[in-house]
Amino acid sequence: MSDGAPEGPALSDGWVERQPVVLLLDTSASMARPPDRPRIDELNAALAEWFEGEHTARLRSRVEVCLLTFDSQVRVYDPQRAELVPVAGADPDALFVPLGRLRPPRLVAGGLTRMTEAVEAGLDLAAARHRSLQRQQVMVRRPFLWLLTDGAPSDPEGRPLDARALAPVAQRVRRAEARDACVFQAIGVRGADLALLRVLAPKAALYLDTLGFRSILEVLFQSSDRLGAASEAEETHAHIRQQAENRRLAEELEKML
Amino acid sequence: MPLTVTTDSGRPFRLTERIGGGAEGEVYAVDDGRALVAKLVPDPPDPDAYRRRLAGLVRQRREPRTVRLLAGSPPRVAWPLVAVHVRHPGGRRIDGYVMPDMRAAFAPFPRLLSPAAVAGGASAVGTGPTWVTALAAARSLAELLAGLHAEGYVVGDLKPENLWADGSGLVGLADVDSWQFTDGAEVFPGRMRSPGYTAPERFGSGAAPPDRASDAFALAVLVHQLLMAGLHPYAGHPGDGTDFRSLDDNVQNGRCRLTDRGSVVLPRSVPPADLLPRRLTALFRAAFGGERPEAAVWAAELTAAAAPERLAVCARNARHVHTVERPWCPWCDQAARGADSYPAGGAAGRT
Ligand SMILES: [Zn+2]
Repeated sequence: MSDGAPEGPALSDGWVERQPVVLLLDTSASMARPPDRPRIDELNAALAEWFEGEHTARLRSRVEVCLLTFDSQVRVYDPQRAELVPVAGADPDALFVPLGRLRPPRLVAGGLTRMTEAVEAGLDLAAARHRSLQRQQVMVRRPFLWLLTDGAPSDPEGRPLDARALAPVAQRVRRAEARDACVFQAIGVRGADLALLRVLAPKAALYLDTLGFRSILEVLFQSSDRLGAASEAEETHAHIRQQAENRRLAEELEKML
Repeated sequence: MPLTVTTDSGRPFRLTERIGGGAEGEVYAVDDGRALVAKLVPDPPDPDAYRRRLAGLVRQRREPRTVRLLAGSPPRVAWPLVAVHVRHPGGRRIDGYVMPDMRAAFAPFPRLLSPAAVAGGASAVGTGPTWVTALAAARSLAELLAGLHAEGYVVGDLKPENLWADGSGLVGLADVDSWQFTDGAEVFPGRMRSPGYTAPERFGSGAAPPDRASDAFALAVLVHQLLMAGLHPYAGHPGDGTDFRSLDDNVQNGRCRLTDRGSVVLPRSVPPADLLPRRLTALFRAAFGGERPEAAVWAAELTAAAAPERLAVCARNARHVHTVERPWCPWCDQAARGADSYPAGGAAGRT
């Protein structure tokens, strides 16, 4: 996927558009299933392969990523300390790493699925980073939030949330998208409760149980670069759906390679 | 079982590895004595139309206008040689085509847009690309576009990712299946738009289809990026204090350093605007704020600007090549402000 250019103009030069991405990853107990092939292993392998692999100069010079995980707690990856830290109190500006320099931590599955808190925290981080870069007069585009889950949101006691309990955060997502503050995309893999994801993101919930995590990451990151920021959030969601279908068909073909 | 695609007449091509993914297709290496690759488009919006488009392009290859375009060595356009298809395990037919592998003669074009990072390689001074390479690539691209416009083709989605360049600045073009053309019976419209390379008249619903003028806009953007070490002509934070939204938003609002100095705020380290020869500055101003020059006009002016007697080499750094219109070196000016786009020795360096 590399196009051979060692580095684009460095992010810090401010010559090119900047695209912040918050990746919200489900690390709850269900990700440890199935026991013989835990999904968390596949996710770890996909993260390592994608972030440590080659990227086009365009992606490398534009995209910065913040990793956020949610189980019983919501944590973010602190690149200085190279570990996950509680999201409360973390400095948003210190959490975003250029795509080519992110070395993801090894994630461990366990605990509940505090998805709503994760989405709230992701929206806060994205908004803070966006504001900060606008203040620095960096050419920053509206942030993307991509949520990957294999389950359903739960409350602090582990009881599943219903649509009504999700409504406030769903409304916050919709309002943010409507004023062009971000684009939110929810991806469900095997076991995910798509109906609830649709409450969270009515037009941007996608069930991709036939696509591996590695391909999902590729589709998401490549789509980040294919659409103008002028496109409606809705257009972005449709594009991701289309790209995912392309990649699924190609991936099945490639099994013959 | 290997992945084999076949032509309508049953001729097989064996694919070996995936070498890239585009906006709508996947590109694979082909096991063949000649340097070939195959592009497959798993899920086009209208599969029948896509098949007719490919058949049309393959037939066009024999037409005099295309033969003229493909003359010369190496061929500069990755024209579809033959349409192929494969049956997906799920039953669906997936179409695509076989084309020359541009990697045989060219390197990816985007590297020319970050010259500071490219060391070594073939170039005028042997230390990486210089402004001479940038001028040569700009001229080569303009000539190529003028040539295909003269033959009635429109690229529609002209952008760095569809382009190739060799060490001397010769430019090639791929992704012909997104071009706009007619075979007399049917018009195949260009649909693709890419952020940063879309002409202002092509935004919004009911936007105009691509034409030579929208290609000429993308050409002017690319020439600016080549001559300005990658800087986009509409780069910058809005000068009126509002939030930045996107390059496209800057395009739509006319925020461009060359046409309206105060419309954008840029870091001090960008290449100075006055490094451009006067005649090219006039062309850029026309392209971004007036009567857009055609590709052929760009080709002629870039040829003139690239003449050896129009160029000077900096006494301090042989990679600093600039127009003779400037008595001092604009790249040294830039270096003094924190970034050297053409560092000596080709090492990626920032002062
Ligand atoms: Zn100099």
